[in-house]
Amino acid sequence: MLLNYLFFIFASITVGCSLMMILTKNPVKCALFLVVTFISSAGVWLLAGAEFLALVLILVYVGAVMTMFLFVVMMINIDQVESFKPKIWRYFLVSMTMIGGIAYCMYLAIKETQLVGRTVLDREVIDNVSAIGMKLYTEFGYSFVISGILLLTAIVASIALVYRAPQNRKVQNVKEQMQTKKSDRLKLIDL
Amino acid sequence: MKGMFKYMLFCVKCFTLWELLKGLFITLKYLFKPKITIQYPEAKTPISDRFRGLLALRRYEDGSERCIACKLCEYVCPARAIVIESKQSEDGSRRTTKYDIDMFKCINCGLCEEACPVDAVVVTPVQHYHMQERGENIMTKEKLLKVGDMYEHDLQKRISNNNGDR
Amino acid sequence: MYDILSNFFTGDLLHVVWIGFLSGCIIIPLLLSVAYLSYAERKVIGYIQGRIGPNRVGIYGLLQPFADLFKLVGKEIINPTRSNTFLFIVAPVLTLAPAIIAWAVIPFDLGMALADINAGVLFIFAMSSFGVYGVLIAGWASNSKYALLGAMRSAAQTISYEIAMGFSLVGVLMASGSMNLQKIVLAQDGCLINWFVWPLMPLFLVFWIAGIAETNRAPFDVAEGESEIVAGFHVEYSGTAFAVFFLAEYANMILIGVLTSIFFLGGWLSPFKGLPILEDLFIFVPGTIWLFVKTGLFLFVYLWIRATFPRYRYDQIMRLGWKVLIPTTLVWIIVLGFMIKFEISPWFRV
Repeated sequence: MLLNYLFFIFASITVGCSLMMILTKNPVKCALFLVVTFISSAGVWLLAGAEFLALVLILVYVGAVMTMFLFVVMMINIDQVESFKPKIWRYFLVSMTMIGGIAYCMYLAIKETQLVGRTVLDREVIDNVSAIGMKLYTEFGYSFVISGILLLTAIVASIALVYRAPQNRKVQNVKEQMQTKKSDRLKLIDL
Repeated sequence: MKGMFKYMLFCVKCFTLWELLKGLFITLKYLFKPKITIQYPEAKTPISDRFRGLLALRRYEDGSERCIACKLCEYVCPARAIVIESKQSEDGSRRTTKYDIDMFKCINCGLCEEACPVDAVVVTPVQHYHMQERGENIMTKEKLLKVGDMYEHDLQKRISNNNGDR
Repeated sequence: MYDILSNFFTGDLLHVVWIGFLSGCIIIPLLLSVAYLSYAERKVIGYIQGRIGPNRVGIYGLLQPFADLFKLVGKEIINPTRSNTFLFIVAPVLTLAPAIIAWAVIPFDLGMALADINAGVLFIFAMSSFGVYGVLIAGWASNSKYALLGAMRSAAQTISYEIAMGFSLVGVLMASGSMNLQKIVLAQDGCLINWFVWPLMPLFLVFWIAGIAETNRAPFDVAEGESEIVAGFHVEYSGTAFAVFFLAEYANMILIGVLTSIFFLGGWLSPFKGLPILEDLFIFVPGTIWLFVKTGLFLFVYLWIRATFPRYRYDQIMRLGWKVLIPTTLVWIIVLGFMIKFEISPWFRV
């Protein structure tokens, strides 16, 4: 009973905050609303029994991605995004089409599944984390490896994009600094 | 080969956090060393016999003022903190009518004490004094004499300890 | 206690009230120990620096934390001009809340955890990563450049060190085969040889260093580097709001101390378990006390380190986090994999 109420609380926070995220003009506040959205959807997932996914959502999106976002948004200091009002109708048709498409996809995905009273896994035998691990490393092993390689490529690419060679700028040689002794820098002489 | 060995030693030192541990043990040693704090109102730091604190005017043992209003201290004072006015007294000697030291100007250099031919103006070991109202910074003759009376015993001890050196 | 409460409440409400009671049992001692940690910090650092620390308020200065608290509570909270009032007030709460929530999954003894969840490690990690928001929001809502700079530094530092911390936890997960904190402790069952410190020594050091960096403590306290940016993200805070930041910092320190003792020093397990004479000698000490002793040890090391090392420069912090700690953990995870594969005793038996 209590859990049902909790679901409605979390769900309404999720919807409300995602709307606020779109409608707020201050980018920092937008980002903060998105954070609240993530947290409340993590709450919904927790209620559905997917504790691993919920915590990973908080860990990855709230803890890392949104922190970076906020970091950048605060750093570049855009005060206000100019009002969308005059342009809103221009994008209305496109966005409605997209929403329709996504809704249809979701309908197709959940049409076959029975939503109520379906236990995902037997919690007594195997816990959430192990269940995901089993699936990930057996059935979806290849896709897991491929996504890993994709992420690695992204890391390498981002470094390659921003890396400047240490010419034309002053860098310190840490190894050399660490290996100096006091006798290298200071000589005591008799007077 | 020697360089290689040195580098390996450096690596070992790095990964065992040798230098950090060395630093930590130095501070650990100090954790058990005796503390040097002096708990102020109960205990005070010892004061040198030559400490130059609040100024005072002394009297002779019979109670007459030492000061002869020669104004040498007024002349020597680098901060011009001393103001003296004098008049001939009834017994024909020259006496001060006003002897003011502005403690805001005074830099506690002790030159007035050195200049004084009759050891009238002296520095006392008093270092903790305060003013609560405007104007209290001017030490008048009465106040200076009072300080001198209060610390006469200390002052004599200081002077004898210093053997004439200042 | 449960029986007494069940006279007044029923059903779901009883459950909620019971959990509230249990969390009170955790939070109140936690806040008390935060108060005395601040006292201990001033004493220990004073002693290391040849001073004697606070000794005026109460016997040995033992009431000093309360004097400080009352002073702070009595002060005015100043709201800077053009700051965002709501976020400005919410930020300290956002720093304190995760530091306290994370205690829900800490097992104080076998079966003595508020919530014995399977993804306990993840929960703690999620909460600690959530803590950076308070700092970021405080920095932004203050409308002050120093606060903003402090928040930036803190955020960058926390993100960088969270990765190293996460990787060192991966090692713990591999070694114990579980994300449940109780199971992690039970995997270290035995005397002090069986603890994970020994096979996971580099990960232990990385976790500890990253833990210090996560809590923004010296020598990683550039976020509040008073020599350049006054006090960092909490320059504009005074009174109770500042007190809450203070509480959060120390609560986080205690949390990291407890976590390190759970992950690497066998939590509530006695160090002499299974040793012939010593076990009987120390059999009267309950597990919770062992956990507190271990935590206290780490807290002392926190203060000791603060009294010893000068502050890192910002670029040095980044270099240490990304170029030293993360590679170390990666290498040791591979080594650990081999250790588990070849079942090196006494840690990895079948």
